[in-house]
Amino acid sequence: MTELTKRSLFNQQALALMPLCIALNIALGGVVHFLKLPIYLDATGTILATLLLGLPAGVIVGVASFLLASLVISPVYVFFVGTQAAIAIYIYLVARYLHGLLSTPRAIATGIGLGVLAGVVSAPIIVLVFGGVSGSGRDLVTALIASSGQQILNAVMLSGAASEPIDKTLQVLIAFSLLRGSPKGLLERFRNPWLVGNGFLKAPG
Amino acid sequence: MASSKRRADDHIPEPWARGTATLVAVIGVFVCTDPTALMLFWIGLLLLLYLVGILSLHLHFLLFVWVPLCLGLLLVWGVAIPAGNSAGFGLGSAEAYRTALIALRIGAFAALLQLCFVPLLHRSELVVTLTAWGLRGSALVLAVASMTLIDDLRYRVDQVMSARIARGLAARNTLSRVLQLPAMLRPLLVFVLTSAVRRSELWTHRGLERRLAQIPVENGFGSRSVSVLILAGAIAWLAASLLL
Repeated sequence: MTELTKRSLFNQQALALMPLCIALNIALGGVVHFLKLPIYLDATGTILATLLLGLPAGVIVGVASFLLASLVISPVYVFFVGTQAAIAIYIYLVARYLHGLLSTPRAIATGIGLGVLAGVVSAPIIVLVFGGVSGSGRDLVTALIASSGQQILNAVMLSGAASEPIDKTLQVLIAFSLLRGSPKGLLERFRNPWLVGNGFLKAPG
Repeated sequence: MASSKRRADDHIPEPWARGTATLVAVIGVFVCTDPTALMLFWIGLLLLLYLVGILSLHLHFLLFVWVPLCLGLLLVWGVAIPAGNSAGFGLGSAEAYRTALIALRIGAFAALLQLCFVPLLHRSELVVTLTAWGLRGSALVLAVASMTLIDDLRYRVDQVMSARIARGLAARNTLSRVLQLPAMLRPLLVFVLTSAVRRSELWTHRGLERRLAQIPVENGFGSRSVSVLILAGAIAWLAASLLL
């Protein structure tokens, strides 16, 4: 190991996996488009990086993937880098301290919580920058709530809390299913306490 | 060699100027409260995007992101909020001004970001620009590898999807398409993990970080006159935004 590697925050393996998770976040759009699904899958790489490599790597993958997506997909992604960081923090805390990916029901609960969090965190940005709209079917829900006399921020938060859990639960379930089905020999290379705590790897001995 | 390099970066701003001018111009976009000025600024950017050859990318953004956002703005501010305020339906002058400003800001911001950074993505000055912005070692590896791996992974996604179509596994209804996702993504994850292990061994073996640390920072890259020109343009735009 070189002096430089000793000094850096990540080892070579983490450093090699992080760009792949960033690319995964961006490239999965192709799968969604092919399957014509009304979901985004734009945080799957962030969730996987957090589970495999830990919090700093998860935050970096989330933020970097949205910065890059703002260049290769749509410039509006840049406004949601904070949401990606929040996703990584939430997944890390839930996986490490609550074992939120130990079973399918727990993964569903984790996904619902993640959806509510993402909806609430992104609401101020949606209101300040985009006037409360997202350019998706969610705007219908926002309009419905706003027409009942609610403030626009409340309407966006409520519509986010209603629509995001479906997408985020699917993403957590996909990450959960992918890690469950991955060869254990490969996962051993990324061994950490929360992979063991959530049952993706067996405890030593 | 030196003269050919000089010719190649004659029309390119220096990295510091690219970053600073973009930041100043973005601030200008968000402090501008005059829709006409924003519209003129955006049209100017469209002309530059055409000259750089990436106008089609911006048109794609307009069609698939900007137009749906505008429809959402009309729905929320033109129908829902007036109804909620018991002031009847329709876009009042205050709401019309607000929605026009938001739509123009998003359009101009997108054009600006694409103009300043998209041309960098597949060009030789990417590493030079990133090092000039202070990225070194691991951060530089991460940035450059991410940009190059996107195409790799998109190709792999295409391969997986083609294989599923060839086997007649393309599902028809939404639920079965959702259920297909893990099966489609598993080969991708295995590829990602094995590729990471292989790359890390290769990078260690070849001393990648040591080599990257030895890349000199090229302070003389880019044209000083182009840098001054774009910086002056950005400052002029910011001043106009504040005054109008």
